[in-house]
Amino acid sequence: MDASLWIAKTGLTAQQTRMQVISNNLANVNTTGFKKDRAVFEDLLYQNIVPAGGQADAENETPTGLMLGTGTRVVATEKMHAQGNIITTENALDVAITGDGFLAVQQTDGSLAYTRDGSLKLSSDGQLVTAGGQPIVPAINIPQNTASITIGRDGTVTAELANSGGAAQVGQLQLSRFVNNSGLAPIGRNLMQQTNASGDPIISIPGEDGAGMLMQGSLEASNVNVVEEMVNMIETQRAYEVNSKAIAAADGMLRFLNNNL
Amino acid sequence: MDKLAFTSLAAVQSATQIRAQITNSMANVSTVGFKDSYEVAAQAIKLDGAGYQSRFQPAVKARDIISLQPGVLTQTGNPMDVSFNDKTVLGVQAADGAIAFTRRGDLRVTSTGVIENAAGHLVLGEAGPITVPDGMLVTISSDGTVFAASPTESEVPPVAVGNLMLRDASVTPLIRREDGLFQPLDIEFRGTDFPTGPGVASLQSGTLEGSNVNPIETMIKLMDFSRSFEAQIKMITQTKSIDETGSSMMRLP
Repeated sequence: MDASLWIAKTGLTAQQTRMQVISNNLANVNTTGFKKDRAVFEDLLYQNIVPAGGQADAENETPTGLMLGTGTRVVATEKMHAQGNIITTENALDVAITGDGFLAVQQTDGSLAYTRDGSLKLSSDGQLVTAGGQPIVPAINIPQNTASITIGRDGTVTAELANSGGAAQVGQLQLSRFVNNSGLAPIGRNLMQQTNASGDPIISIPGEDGAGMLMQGSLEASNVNVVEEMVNMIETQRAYEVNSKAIAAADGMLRFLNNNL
Repeated sequence: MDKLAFTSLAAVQSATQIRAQITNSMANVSTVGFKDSYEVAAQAIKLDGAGYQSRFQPAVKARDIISLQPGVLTQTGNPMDVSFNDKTVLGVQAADGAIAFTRRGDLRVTSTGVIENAAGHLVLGEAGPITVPDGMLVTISSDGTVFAASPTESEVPPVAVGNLMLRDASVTPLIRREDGLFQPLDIEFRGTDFPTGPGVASLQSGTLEGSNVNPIETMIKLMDFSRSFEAQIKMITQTKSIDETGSSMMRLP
């Protein structure tokens, strides 16, 4: 059938995917530590109809070639790792990471995942875990008779013991950094996994070697900008309409052909 | 059969390819750094033969030179997003190893530390691919120098790690490759670097250039095609009815 029908179809599919990405960003506007995605568009392969510099006749060359495009596609979604807003919560177990780095957590199968969500909790046996219940790596256990917990900017966790038992340092949070943050694979539940594209984690103490600092009593909000997403949504919707108009035009021509010949 | 039908058919056929090309521009209305390239004109070819000298068939004369008209700029605030000024193009390595050029400016650092664009093409510097030391913050100056700065030691000045291969293509016509990248029209420079033009090759960091397809213009072209298609089909129907009248006249009563 008509080539332009299928080319316009690639446009519709790609805009549909972009719409999904935007909806997901908007849905996660209140997710702690969420990083927005961006759909990356790419033009598809071109068909070489007339090669440039081919022989037009015995003496002359065609001055320019003719490459027929075949549409577009979404080649990737890229996480934008810009810093989100810092929200003060006054909760001693909330830590926000200002700067680069992720907290490592242990999953049930023993492998590590990485998160920016610092809304930490205590498990029933006193271990620091994420809101999803995965223990933080390296493991930090808070003694039972703790009155208050202090988390320093460098990740030092100090427990103030009850009944004037003094303060005890119980561990230090570490941050994992990646050469290519965008290469991390999001696996849901605010977690990301290392991939070949992200490279191996560089583990460092908060505030050293380029890692960010920790801020106790704060959380990092989602970095989704609602206005930006709304504008993107309008743009996507219009681009979708333009492509569906192209389909309608091709369809109208074919219908006219069928009715009149 | 009346020869008029074939003249109309030639018009319809030549329009199909142009329409496919226009639809492709429309589909790429959101592709970062996409450049429209297709310019078309119909040329009348005179056909000699029996009858009056009235048979002129249209043939498509296409010009597939990349139009480096600027696209819409969007502020992203990401220092690795760059948009190229004027007629500047960026050298990248294509999958077949050749040097090709692009206007895509969504750059990133891979796990091995080299800079590539979001379509996965390795970005070239004046001295080959640019490697960024582990964990350094990258900034790109307007002349294409890539600086790496330590995120913690703010007193240490950023180190230049390479210069992006920026070329001014204002006097070099570019054509498209099969993978959508650009290459010089001149066969001598295909797959290699070309001498930069008189303009200053520069970029702007923190912005992305969108597609330079004008949706309104393309929509109007499509409407135009639909209507001229209908007119051609009408001509073919007319020939059909003329032929039918002719054969019915000769039918024996």
